[in-house]
Amino acid sequence: MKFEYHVEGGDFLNAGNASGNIKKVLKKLNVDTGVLKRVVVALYEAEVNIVAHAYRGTITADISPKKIEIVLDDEGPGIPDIGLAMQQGYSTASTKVREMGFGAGMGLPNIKANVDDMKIETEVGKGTKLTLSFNLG
Amino acid sequence: MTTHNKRPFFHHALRINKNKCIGCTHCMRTCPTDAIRIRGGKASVNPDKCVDCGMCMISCKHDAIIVEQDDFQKIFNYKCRVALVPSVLMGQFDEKSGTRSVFEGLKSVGFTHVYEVSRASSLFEEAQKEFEKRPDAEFPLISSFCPAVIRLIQVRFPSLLKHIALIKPPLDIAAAHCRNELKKTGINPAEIGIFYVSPCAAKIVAIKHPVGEKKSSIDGVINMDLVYNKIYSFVSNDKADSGKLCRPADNTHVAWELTGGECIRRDNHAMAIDGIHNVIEILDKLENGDLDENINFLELRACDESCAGGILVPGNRFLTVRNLLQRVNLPPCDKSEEEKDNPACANCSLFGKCGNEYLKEAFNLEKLQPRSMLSLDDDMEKALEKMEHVDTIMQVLPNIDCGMCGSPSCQSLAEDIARGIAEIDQCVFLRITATKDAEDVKTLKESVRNVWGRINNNE
Repeated sequence: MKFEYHVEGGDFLNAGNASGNIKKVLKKLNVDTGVLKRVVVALYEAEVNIVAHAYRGTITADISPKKIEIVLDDEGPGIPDIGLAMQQGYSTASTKVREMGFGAGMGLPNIKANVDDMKIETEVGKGTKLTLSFNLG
Repeated sequence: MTTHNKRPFFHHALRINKNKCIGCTHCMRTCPTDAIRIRGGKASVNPDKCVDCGMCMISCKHDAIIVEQDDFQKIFNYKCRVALVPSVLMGQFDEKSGTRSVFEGLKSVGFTHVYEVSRASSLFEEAQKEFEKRPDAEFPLISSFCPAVIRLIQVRFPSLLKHIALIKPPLDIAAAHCRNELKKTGINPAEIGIFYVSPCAAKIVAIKHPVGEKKSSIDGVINMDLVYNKIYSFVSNDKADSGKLCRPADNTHVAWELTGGECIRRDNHAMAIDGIHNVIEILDKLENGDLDENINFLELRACDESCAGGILVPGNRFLTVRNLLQRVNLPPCDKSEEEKDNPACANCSLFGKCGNEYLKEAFNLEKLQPRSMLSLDDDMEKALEKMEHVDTIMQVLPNIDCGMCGSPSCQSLAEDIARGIAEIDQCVFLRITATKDAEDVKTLKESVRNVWGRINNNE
């Protein structure tokens, strides 16, 4: 079953709506609480990444009894150096974003730690497509 | 429904009085776990989902919700009859009526000993601090103080169960402690009966059917409203000098049952929330990973103004808070140790530190089990099918949550239909818009009668 959500860059007020909604869906589907927690943590981080860095994006969750696959596709600056972005504490977030309590440089590493598989496709000046997979059962 | 039958049955203290219930939907709309439906014109509670928070009882305008309790005469089965009381009982009386009067009042109706639960608060805190050092402790730690919150987490937030400090609630610790003390004075343990004067339904269930422990150390429960009626005239007419309000040795413990009572004794990384819908909001945020990570302790209480707002507390919750805080602000107790040993003294010093191995062992709760009732089906494949069904149904339902179908919202009706426990023709809105001929009107009436038990008040 597919679910789609739109995310606006800079809309911190609604950051977390998509992950909150997907959490509700997963609870209704009786997904194991351990997996649920990993999905919510990784997805929340990735959703905030779009809000903090990109202009806009789409989150698509495809849920089957075997696997949860979530694609976060954004229009934004892209990631010039993925190796650096994967380092804990490295951040390109603006002061404004940091003042709001985001942008501590834990995003991508934290996402990676919570998923079974992660794929990053990025093009500087165009955007980033992040694919997160979680195995079930 | 088959999935429900496999689960254990959960006991509750709240009951619906079918003679008084008119199916008005107030309770159904306020229930935080979506546990109530209207069937045959009466509210009916899904025992698997109910957490005994008592919101239904507060919202009921027809006195149709009752709370079970033990027969008061049961106390006389014991020679040594202990009343274990929360501080909010003392908060039912203003400064003109003192702590001692309440204690004496309890003795006048048959109790031989009175203990205040808050005297065990330091033991509880000590056990909680020990728990924080455990490698499996997950932060923010959630206090095990409020049994309705524990059950709410089991039902709605099973992934957060690991955050609950597995410490028995203070009333259990208090009961274990005073039983031990009484045994030491030579009283035959079989003759000791400990009765808790409960401010709420959740604590009754916690005693009658505890989670995380095999048997509660409390022998019976008496509802606070009943006790209030029994001791009211004694307390308000007690002119004795002993009737003054007195302050316990460690005054902040008196406020322990109030909102912030646990937090005030911690650093500013602790946070206190009261009111079950507020608690849900915070748990939702925590589950989303969206809560400030500096917060390391959550004091969560189901009732507005915590135990002062308990459904069995007779007085106004704000006045109860005020009365208790007045007691906190009294000058320290100036009685000598001999005077404190006098049976007329309210005896409100704290219980000692828990060097006692017996007590320490008695503190821990077993691992808490989820009671998740949110899923559409235990089998994910079937749950996915049902969810698609729900989506289809939602496209035709009006989304106005009128409650006429007997479910609290259109979404709930759609899920009930997908689960096979409701029919789409229960939607009165759809039926009215679809009804054209006489045959339709007839079946519409039948459908309304099934949910509401009647079509108009003349039936």
